[in-house]
Amino acid sequence: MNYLFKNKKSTIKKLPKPFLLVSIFIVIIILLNFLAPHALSETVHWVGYPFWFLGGSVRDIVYNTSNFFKTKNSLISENKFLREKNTELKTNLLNQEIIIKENKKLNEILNRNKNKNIILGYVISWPPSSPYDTLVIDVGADHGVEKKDKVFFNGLVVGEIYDVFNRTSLVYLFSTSGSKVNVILNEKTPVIAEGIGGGNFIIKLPKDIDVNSGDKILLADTATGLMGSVEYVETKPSDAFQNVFFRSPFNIFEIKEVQVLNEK
Amino acid sequence: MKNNMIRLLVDIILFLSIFIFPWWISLFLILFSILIFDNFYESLIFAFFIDSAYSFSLFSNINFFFGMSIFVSIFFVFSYYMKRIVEFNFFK
Repeated sequence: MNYLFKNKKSTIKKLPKPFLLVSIFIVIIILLNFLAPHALSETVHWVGYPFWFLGGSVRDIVYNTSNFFKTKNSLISENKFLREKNTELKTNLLNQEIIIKENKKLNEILNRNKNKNIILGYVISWPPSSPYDTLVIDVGADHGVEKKDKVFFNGLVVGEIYDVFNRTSLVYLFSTSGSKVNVILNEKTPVIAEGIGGGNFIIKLPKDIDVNSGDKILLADTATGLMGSVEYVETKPSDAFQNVFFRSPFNIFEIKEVQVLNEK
Repeated sequence: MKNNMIRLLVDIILFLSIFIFPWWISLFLILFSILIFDNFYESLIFAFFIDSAYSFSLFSNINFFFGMSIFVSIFFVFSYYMKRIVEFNFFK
């Protein structure tokens, strides 16, 4: 017959307190993730609202201070470049006005006028603050913003509303690394573009499809959703496919105000 | 007492950094604070704040929104064992 030693210590070791607390935290996180992932987002956005504005002001001060120390020569050359660009844009705008009028007339004839509502919003948090490449804008459910609404900047579509809170909304950028979006290349070829971050996209196409730099890229879901133009086409003799790179014509991290298209 | 004041100050800076600084600065500050303070549980809350404020999921089948929280949790446990070998004596 076997007997236990009287002084035998328990073999079960106690877990260290930090380890135990972290385990509980992870369990809560996993449960939250599957049950209500954005349950506390509303509160965090409510708390963060004034601090995001503070961050914006700090950013502006830093930007203006760095501009103050620019050399005279660089300012002269920048001024010259901007004047030339302004003339070019004025000419383009004249053409655009005619096109918009024509488009409106055609929509009226075809009875395709939906009840569209454009909401102007200011960006209060940019991707460098967000590890997930998302924007936070200062309009939310109180202003009529809804999930899946398209977000535009100067007429170009940049993303869509992912989550709506009372005073703020979370915008997911189409150019986020790994995201896939249906686009129309050159107004005729439907393809899938993959975001590679920072407002850049890549499209993989068979070599026989003719693509040139400057070709327009439209978002497939909306008729007016221009996303950018082709910057560079990469072809390799050993590869049956070609890589088409395109990007938004502006720096995605410098967007200050956006338009939210709410289609009811 | 002095250590507690420093810890409180770091907490305030970390909280503000979530909304003002780029995310990598916030993450660096969180990880650094875990190393220099004993049982810096606030780090988990700050990581949770970042996830709640900015996260979204691209995957259609498995949605996971708390990547930063899990990363900080793992680092927290790792630092617990690391501190047994290496001593960080910034405020001692």
